[in-house]
Amino acid sequence: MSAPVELEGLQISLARDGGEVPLVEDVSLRIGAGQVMGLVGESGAGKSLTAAALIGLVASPCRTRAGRLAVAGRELSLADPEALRPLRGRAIGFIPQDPFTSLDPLFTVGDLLTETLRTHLPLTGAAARARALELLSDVGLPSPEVRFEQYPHQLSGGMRQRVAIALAICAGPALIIADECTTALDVSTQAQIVSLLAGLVERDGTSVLLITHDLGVVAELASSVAIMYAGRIVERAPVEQLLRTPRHPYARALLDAVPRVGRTRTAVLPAIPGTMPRPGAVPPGCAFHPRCPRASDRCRADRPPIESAGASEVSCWHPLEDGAARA
Amino acid sequence: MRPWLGLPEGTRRGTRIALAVCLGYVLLAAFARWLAPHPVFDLRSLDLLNASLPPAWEADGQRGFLLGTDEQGRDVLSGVLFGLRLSLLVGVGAVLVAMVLGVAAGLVSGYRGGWLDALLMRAADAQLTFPAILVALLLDGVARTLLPRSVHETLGVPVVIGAIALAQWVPFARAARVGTLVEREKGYVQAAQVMARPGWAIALSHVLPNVMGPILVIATIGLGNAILTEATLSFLGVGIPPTSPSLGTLVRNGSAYLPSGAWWMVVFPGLALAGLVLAVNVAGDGLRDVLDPKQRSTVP
Amino acid sequence: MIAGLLTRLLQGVGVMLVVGLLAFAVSTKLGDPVNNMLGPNATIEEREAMTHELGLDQPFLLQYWRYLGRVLHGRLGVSYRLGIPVEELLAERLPASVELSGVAMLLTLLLGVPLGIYTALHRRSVLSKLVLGASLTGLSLPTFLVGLLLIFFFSVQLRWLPSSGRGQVVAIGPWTTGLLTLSGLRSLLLPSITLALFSLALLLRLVRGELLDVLHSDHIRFARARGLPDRAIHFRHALKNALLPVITVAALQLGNLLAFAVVTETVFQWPGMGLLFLQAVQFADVPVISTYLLLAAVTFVLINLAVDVSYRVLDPRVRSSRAGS
Repeated sequence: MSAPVELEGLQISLARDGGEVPLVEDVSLRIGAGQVMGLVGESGAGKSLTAAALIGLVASPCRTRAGRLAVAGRELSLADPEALRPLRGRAIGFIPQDPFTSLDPLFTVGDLLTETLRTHLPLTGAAARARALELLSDVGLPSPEVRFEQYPHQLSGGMRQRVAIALAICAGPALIIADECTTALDVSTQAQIVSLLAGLVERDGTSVLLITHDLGVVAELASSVAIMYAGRIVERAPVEQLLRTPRHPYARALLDAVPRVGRTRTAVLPAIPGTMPRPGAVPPGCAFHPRCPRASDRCRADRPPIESAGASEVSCWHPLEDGAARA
Repeated sequence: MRPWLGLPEGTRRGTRIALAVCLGYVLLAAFARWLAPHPVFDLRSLDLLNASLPPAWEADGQRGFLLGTDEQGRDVLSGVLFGLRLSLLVGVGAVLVAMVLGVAAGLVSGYRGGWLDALLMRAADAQLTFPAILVALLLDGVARTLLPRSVHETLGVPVVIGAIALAQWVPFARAARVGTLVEREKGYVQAAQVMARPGWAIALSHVLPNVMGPILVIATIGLGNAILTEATLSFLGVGIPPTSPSLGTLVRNGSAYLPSGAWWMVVFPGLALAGLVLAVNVAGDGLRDVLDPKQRSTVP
Repeated sequence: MIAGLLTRLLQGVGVMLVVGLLAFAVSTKLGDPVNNMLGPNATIEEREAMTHELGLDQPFLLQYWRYLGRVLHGRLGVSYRLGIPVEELLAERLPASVELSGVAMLLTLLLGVPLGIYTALHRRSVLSKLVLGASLTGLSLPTFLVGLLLIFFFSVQLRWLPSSGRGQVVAIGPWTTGLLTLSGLRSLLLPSITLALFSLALLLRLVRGELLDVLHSDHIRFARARGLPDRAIHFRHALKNALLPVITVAALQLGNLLAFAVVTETVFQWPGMGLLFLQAVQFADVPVISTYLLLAAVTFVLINLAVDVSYRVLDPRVRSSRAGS
């Protein structure tokens, strides 16, 4: 099932004595049908919260204060988590981060799959089992009948993640949210999962919101990417454009920090000085200015608005032109 | 929440109230001798004419005996104050013994490892199921057969403390052992070893500060149980000799007169006991939330 | 799995042998059986004859062997206090204790588990806060006080229920039961409530704690994200995971139940093993003490074994090892 997904104006905050601390501010995304959008940022930038908000699973004491979601034209307010319940597992599938803790250890793979199938589809008994076996082979698990009877602890991490993916696509969702779903895996397994996701996108035309801090995965899988910093989106662009000519200094710095084969041995890997501000400790003006080499007084005083230009947008007073040449 | 009297931040209001109540109890017990309106142990001061008086606010009560008297004319209020002292002493004593023994065992076990560790952990496993009351009863029975009466009586309090400590050392040992194992892997321990600092010094100065939080929580929860166990043993007539009655003994004495309606001999010692244990339990729960949220309220 | 069970069984037997040794040592070395049988005025020849007859001049291990034989045949000695064989006392008193503990355990489970679940799922409700407050009180009240207060209100003041004894019992073969008569049931009510209160409060808080923990786990979060209905999440997934550790801890608490039974039987003059043990301790009735020790050990070993078995049956992670990639 393919359909465009539109998120607009998401606000999530945390209630603390003294007031509300914003965690995610004014995040808007538009994912086209069959498109993979990467959502990139450091830990704590608000990526996972954004994903949780889409299915109404923002855990208290955090609260979604505002936001509009449209999936295939159907509109929903994100401030009411219960209204999002019908989306879970149906219109939106979710792949969790840690395959080692995300599957109930007391149930077999088959039990978990048939349970989810029966919840969303009018399948019972043998039909459910048959569909479950199909899904298991769709996600590339060898000998699905054997896996069907096995418990999660009997499978490797990569296999468990495949099971999780099978569970996420059970009901043929329009959008799959992959929340750092390769982070807990070793590099070769990561590659397998990434190509599995690519295959599913191509076959079913599902949109994917790919949440990760790994630009490499984004480069391979995504067609557009949004970069989050301190709860806001600072740049969004088609992936080739961002990788070649990033406009936001933070994006530039992220790209420069990625180790690359072929660099001269004496080159020092450029790290971004300082750390991302914690929620509640965000400086006035542009949140990135303390770490930005291009910061001016204006950056310190006023927050830059989001400037859209076609398929891309950036939030910066002094965006880079044509990106600086790579080291 | 701001730190209050040296307590860590985040202590809830209920916990603070409970801690204040505990403090109140301790003060009552410590100053029992001065607070008690009547010298309960002075047999000559007893007057049988005062026997079995109900509390002062009832029809037959007298103002001098606020909570009534027992069948021998002893003031219930004074008895409760002195009994409180004994209950607290035994309870705290038992927990301290358990703590010292348990933490020592855990430190040694975690630091040395090997067969000593295995042995200790087996003992801990085997021991977990035997409740203090049965151990104490058994020890009492053995002592009664082996020892002459006077020796048996003087040993009453140490036997009770020992039995309770025996039932409580395991959680302390486990916490200390875990803490030791964690610290042992850290670099500074190995560095200290290279510098030939003795093992026990390393253990004491590095491991102890880190396990103090969980240990304190275990101690508070254990204290409630220790007080209850001591009271139960006294009620059964085992352990503490009847000459210095604890709250449990008072209830035991009073229970014979309950059918005739003399409720004050049972209710006031009982409520004092329950109030103390409740305060300790609430305080323990609250402290656990602040100091060691990973643990749950596992009352042994 | 079978291998694991066998090891546990052997360990249990080992523990029993050790405890048996202890019980034997207690029963022969403490107190003076010869003195008890003959009285203080026996002559030296009579003493020697009796010593020989009782086999007390044999090597220690041989005596132990014969003792084991006697125990396994049900000959457990003669009570110093009452002068009747301990086996008879057992037959008389065991049913009373078993019924009391059984009913108390039933109350604990039937009330503790549902209330624990309720207070975990409805954290903010007034009922939850009441129940939790009551459970904390239940953990702080000594069992004997609860019993005495119940007696005071229901027996002395209201005269609704009896304050002691088992009431009318019906003999079924070697067993006597109070469950078949109204007076028997009425007599069971207060003691079983008294006995159950502490364990009930404990189990309630345990179930609540484990369930709350599980409800925050990753796999429950994923279950929610998959769109499973609340009922499936709470009762199919969360509860199953929560009850597993509860079983272990709860079963180990059975040991406490045994100890509290002594107190409850004392308060209500319930003619069971607990009261028998207490009286034996006070009288230094060694044969009864050592028999009780054996019984207690058997109970604990059986409980531990049952917990082990149940864990193996219920937790698939314990049952099988990784079958490979």
